[in-house]
Amino acid sequence: MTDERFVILCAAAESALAGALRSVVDMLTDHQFDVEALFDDEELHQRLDELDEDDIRVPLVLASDRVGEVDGITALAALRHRPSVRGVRTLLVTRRLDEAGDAVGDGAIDAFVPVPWDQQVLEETIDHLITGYLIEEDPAALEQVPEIVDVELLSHAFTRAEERGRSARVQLEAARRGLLAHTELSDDEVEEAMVREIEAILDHPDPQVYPAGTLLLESGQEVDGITIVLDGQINLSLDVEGTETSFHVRTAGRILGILALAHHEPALFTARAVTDVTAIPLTVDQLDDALQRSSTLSGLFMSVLLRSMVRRIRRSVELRIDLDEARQAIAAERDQLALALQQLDQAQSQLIEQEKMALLGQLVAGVAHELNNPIAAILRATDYIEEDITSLTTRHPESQRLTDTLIGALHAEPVSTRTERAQRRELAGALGDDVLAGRLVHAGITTRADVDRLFAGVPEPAKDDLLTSVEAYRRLGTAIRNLRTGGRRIEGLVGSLRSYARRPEDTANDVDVREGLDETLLLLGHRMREITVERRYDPVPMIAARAGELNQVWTNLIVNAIQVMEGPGTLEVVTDVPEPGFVRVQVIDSGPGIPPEDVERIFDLAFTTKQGRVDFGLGLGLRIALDIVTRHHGVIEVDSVPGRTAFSVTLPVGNTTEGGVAE
Amino acid sequence: MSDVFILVVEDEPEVRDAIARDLEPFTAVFRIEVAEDAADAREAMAELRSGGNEVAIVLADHLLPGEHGTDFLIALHQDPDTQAIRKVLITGQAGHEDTIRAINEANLNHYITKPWDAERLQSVVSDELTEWVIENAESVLPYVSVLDGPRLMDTLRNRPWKH
Repeated sequence: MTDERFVILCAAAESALAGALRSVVDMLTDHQFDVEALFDDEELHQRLDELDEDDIRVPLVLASDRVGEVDGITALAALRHRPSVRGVRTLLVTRRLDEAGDAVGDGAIDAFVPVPWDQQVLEETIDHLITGYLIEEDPAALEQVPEIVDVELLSHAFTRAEERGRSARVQLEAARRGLLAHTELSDDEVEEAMVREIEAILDHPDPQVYPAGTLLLESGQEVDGITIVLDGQINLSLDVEGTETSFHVRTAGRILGILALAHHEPALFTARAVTDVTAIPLTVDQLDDALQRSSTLSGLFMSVLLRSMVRRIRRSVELRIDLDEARQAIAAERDQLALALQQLDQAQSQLIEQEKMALLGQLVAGVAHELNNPIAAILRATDYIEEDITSLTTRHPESQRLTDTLIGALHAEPVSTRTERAQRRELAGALGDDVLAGRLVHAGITTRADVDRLFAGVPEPAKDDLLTSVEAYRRLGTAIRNLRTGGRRIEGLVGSLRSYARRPEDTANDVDVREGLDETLLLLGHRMREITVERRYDPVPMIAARAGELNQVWTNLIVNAIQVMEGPGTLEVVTDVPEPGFVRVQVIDSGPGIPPEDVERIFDLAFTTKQGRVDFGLGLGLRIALDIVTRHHGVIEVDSVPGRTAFSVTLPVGNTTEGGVAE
Repeated sequence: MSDVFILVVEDEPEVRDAIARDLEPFTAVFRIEVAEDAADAREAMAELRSGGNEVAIVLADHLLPGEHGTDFLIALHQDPDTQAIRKVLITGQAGHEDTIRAINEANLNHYITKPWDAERLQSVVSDELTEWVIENAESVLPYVSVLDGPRLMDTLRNRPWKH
């Protein structure tokens, strides 16, 4: 190593002061440094440029209170911004102690010495500043200037380094010896050089042979030395959650355990011999001894250590990038899977619902068919009873009165309970007997004239007997009428069920949508007692469609309307021809309406709003309606304001076999 | 003179006829009044009460036009004048919730599903009327032959020294 040149600059306004400073500094630094005097700021920068060009370091600049045109603090503070004098220490020789104190506090300058100066104070200050500079910027040069080194500062730096551990001390020592200059060599060459140096210093210790598979270093194990691999292949691996993961072979250098040793940490990797391995094991003491004896080795060791660290860091960064990429790929895949799962779920719910509806349809059709016989029997039996009772009545002594009663009961229109009560009240007033009036009205004898006619010519004692018979015949007639009314209702329902729940249709038939709507309304009648139904059917043409499927659409729309009205309301069912070739069905409810923000989503599967205002019960109902209408090449539209929500289904007429317009 | 009434509230004439007919065994002592909805039932009750009559039991269908039977029974229970009336819900349709509400809020005494069985209907009504008689009637004697005789006799045996 050649000795470096250092220049200390002394800048002052007057040549006298500058000269004085220069000679003092010159003397203090004992000719180890060139000291130059300058007289103004411009000259100072000019000189710094020149020194920079010549690669000469400037550890210290002194200045007096004025330097040419500017004051000393400004001149020195400006040096902080010159990259070429990075780390340069600045010292102000001043009379303005307050300003100087502030400048040190602000970090504008490093130190100041009052004028007139005390020789010893100046010397100590200069030594301290230069030592600090060299420790930071050029530790190797410390050796060249033992006289001026601030021993206290240096030992302080060493102590700090000690605290950071062996590697830092080694590093500092190596740096101090200026041996950190193997940058031009490859990793292998540096390692090779270190191995050769160790072998030389330790007088060629005998290498040992480790057979393939030998565990050379175990992850987590305290490291008490290093292993220098002369020949063979090593695999580095790490136990990651129970799985042994191999790392790239290039991570392994020829010297094992060096990083763990330097950090005083357990080994990170497990090192295992892949082939037979020839290696020299070195204990910490042996290594320490070798390092003490050879400064060359120290430098090489430092270099190997640094390179190992760099390799590991690089590998770590690469792994991190790999990991991030993998994580991103996994996240993208997971999102896709979640989406697919959701779609599958929806499709499955829909299939199940459709399957359920289809099964239900078959079941209903079957049950309806089975009900045909018993209901026919009931209705026929009703007729027979009527015939026979009528015939029997003619043989009764009071045949005329009782036949009238029976026929009257058979054909009577049901009377409201209010009317009946009013009749009773009136008759009770006329007869003066509330109980008797009740019996008579119930028996269909509602006016005073009727009573008179009934009892005309009947002796008083026989009257009660007659009334009892009349009551019985009235009840008989009413019972037969009720039997027939009930039976016919069942018959009608069975008929509707059969046509409604047709078996799945493969082909379209000619369909009059009004028939399907009527059947649906009839079947849902029991759910609509509080609802006023208004049918407004314009004549519409037959359309080519699958009637059973359309019935499901009408059912879902009407059930939906009933549910949102939650009680009394008006349901409008409208058919018309919006334009030639199309048929439109509108189902309009007087419910609360669908909030605008929800309109888009009502055909989503299982859509409900929070308050349950649009909880459609069937859940899938509207969605299935949409699907069926779509399959029929039609559209569903929704138009909703509070109090009026209209679902419009527009279907094309399509290829009907008749092509005619119904009605 | 005052009569004691059974009130049937049902909107379908055929069903109303049938319930009334099934209750005929009680007409020896009680009279039957029918109404087709809750409003009509209130009118009927007002008329009966103004004539000095009493209503002992109300049998109401749940699904009536307008006010539901359940709500009608709840209202009866909340009015001190009608609280003592025995209440029976007859229904083919009420969901669980309505039934639970009727039991909790109307102090519903019985719940009968359609289609009903005549004997069962009569036994329920007999039990309820017996309860009503024990709690409200001045004398149980007129009812012994029609209602739950043994129970009424028991009451009779336990009462004499009380007045």
